[in-house]
Amino acid sequence: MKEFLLERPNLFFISKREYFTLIAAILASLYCLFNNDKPQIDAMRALFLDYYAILQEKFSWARKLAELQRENTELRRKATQMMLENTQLREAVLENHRLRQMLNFRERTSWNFRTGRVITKQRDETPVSVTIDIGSDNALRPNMPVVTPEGLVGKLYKVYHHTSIVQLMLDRNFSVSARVQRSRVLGIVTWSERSGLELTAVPRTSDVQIGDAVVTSDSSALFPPGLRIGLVSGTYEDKTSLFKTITLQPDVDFSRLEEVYVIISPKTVLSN
Amino acid sequence: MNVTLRPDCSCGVVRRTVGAASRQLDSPMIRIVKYLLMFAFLALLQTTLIPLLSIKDVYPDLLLIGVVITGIRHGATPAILAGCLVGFVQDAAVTQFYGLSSLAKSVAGFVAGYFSREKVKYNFPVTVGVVAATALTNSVIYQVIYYFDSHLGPGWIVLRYLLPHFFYTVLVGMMVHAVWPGGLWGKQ
Repeated sequence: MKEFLLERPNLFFISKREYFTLIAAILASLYCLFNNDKPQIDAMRALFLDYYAILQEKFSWARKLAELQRENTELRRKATQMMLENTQLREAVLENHRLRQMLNFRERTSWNFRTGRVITKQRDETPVSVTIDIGSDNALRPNMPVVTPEGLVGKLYKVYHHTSIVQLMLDRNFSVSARVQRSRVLGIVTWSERSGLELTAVPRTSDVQIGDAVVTSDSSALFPPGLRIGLVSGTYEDKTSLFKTITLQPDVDFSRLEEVYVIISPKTVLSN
Repeated sequence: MNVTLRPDCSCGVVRRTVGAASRQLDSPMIRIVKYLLMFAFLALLQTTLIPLLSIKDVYPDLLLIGVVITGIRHGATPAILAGCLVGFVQDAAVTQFYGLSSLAKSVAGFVAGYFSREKVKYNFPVTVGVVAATALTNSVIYQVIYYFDSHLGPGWIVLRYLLPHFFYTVLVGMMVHAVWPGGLWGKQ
């Protein structure tokens, strides 16, 4: 019977027509009834609202739960959005700080720069090269010095139209003539896998102390003089050798390189 | 008439088992006109003769008797519709309490139609019962809403208004049953 009625829903309505008619008549009557301005209707309306308020209060936990869930979702979304905005702002602050430093550095010097942004770098503990987003279209040539406000980074190794590969000081094939800023002792800075950045070819009798700053010397054909390289972190003497081994702590944090300067007119620098 | 009535129990309840042929040969439109005339006649009596029969502002509801007639002769659906429409007219013409009589008479029509002769065997006690159930339903709904939140106590409302209206309407219903051609059930 049930299946029969389900197959023919109109028969269901016909067989129950008196109930549907009654519901329709009651609804129509109630509609008219509650549109009256009679005090009885006002009283019924007030009573209904009272009971409705009580029921609503009884079952408000479900609505509150749903609202809490929705609010929680919305707050989580906002928290995520604010976290992202905060991250962006923090990045902007740091970038602003770096750019200000670079601007000061640029203003301090009369060198001609091109600013490059590091687009790829090795994830090794001691990366030997990075790629920057400027190249020969920006008047870059191989062997141009690459610096940051902290000091020397390396030099251009390969130059393409829009990108360049920077050979970092951490590459063992990299070397630069340098001197101890305080005592003017000359040496050659290279990378040693054994002890890191080293100042080599320094005579044993030279005056070198821990904490001394090491800068590029004026005898280099590629690098302008006075660029900071690092601080002396240790000196070792081998009695069988004529030279000291001096380890350096580089001024530049190579793991956090983001923007670099390429000095495009070192000759001018030298002449200045 | 192709209808067979089979007793289901000793209380007189029967079910129609064969055929569904019309009891009346009138077309639906003629039937509607007849009932409109009947309700117009009852309304005329209600507004002219019945006030003369009122006892302490208690008087019977002849229009409800018309709804009962519609219900027991044609079933619940016509009775609900008749009750609703007559109630609306009564609200508009008499009480200005729109929706009250129509609500009471709609539900009363359902009650009257629920005991239509397709389900209940025609006899006098059943007729009294149907009229009483219908009148009681109508009175309860009407009086409860009409005197809602009034200064009158519920006991006073029941004794002063509800029961007198109910009994007076049942009494007049029985009188109509006695004088109406074929009674409230009509010709079998």
